[in-house]
Amino acid sequence: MSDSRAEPGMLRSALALGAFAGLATLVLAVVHTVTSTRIEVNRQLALRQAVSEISGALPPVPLPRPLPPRFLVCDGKRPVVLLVTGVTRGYAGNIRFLAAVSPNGTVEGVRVIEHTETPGLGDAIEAGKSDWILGFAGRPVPKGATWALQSDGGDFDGLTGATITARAVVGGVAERLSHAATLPMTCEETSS
Amino acid sequence: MSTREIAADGLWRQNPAFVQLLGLCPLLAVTTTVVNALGLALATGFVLTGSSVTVSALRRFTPDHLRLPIFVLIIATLTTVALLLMQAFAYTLYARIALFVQIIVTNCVIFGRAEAFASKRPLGQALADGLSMSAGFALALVTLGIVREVLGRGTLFADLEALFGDAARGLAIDLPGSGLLLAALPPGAFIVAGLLLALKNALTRSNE
Repeated sequence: MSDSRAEPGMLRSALALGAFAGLATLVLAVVHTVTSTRIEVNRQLALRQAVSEISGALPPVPLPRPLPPRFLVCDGKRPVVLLVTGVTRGYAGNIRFLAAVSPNGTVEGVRVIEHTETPGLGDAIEAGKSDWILGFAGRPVPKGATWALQSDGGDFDGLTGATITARAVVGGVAERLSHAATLPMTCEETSS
Repeated sequence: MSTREIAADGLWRQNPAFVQLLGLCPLLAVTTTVVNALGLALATGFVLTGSSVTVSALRRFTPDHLRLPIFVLIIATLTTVALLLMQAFAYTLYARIALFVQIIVTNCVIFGRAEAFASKRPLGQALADGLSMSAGFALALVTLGIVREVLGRGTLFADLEALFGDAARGLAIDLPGSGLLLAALPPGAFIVAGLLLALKNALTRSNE
């Protein structure tokens, strides 16, 4: 039943497609190999910049990428800063944040790293859009989820037109830190 | 077609965004600032020119009934190459527009030119067309970017160092007022794009 005079048979087509696919794979493999070191360096740099915005100078140890939910930055055996990431439900989806806590239990800073809140209203939680997120710096780590907006009886400023967003961030950060930042901070001896 | 005709088509007479109405998704989504628009213009231009050149160079080896999947393969490969190069050499810019560089592969301008032009023309013409259409798309992107940044954020050329390095930092202009939020959001993008389209039509008509 095979008709060898029909338009190009399946085998020929498969070979032609395979040849193109092979060529594409080769090009991608070359470009990937040539750029991979540079890309890793850039990613590490971007992470360090984001972290040192809230934690101050970091010792020259590489940060694991992606950051685990709780990571203690150590300089030898001396704890430098505890990095905690967490997620809370905002008005329009999840809000992911990064917090830096010093070894003496003070929150050095918090930044929102991912969110989908309303532009012009809820996005004031971004450091670039308003100073609201700076209100976390300098506070001692809460012992329970005890942080609240002023309108809820606490002492955090609210956000005009974005109460739900503000409440979610304040509550979510307090909840996360009260668990993660109250564990002992000890650096492991690195084996040489 | 002469190079001049190809260039005139790409830049104005057959401008991919304002005449052919292709590539509107990235056009509207990414033009909130000039630096984002320029970054995407460069990445799209790379993929569009590269794709037109490759399709033209390989046109005698491309079986006719397989040309669509092969065009998609070429465009997708070039998009990934553009993505890797951006991550390696312009990471800050990449972080701002990563999603839109990834969807360059869906930009109809590129596929359209491969099918309608590059697959039937010699290498030199395909190169000229790729460059011209890229320039035309860049013109649309940057024009929209300027209008939306000035109206929506009240700045001009902000954050240009993400693309051109620290030397460009001084070019940012801060205008009085913080801008009209609508212009920075998608509905504003549609409205501004529509007005620019009407302007182009008026200019074209008055020349006839």
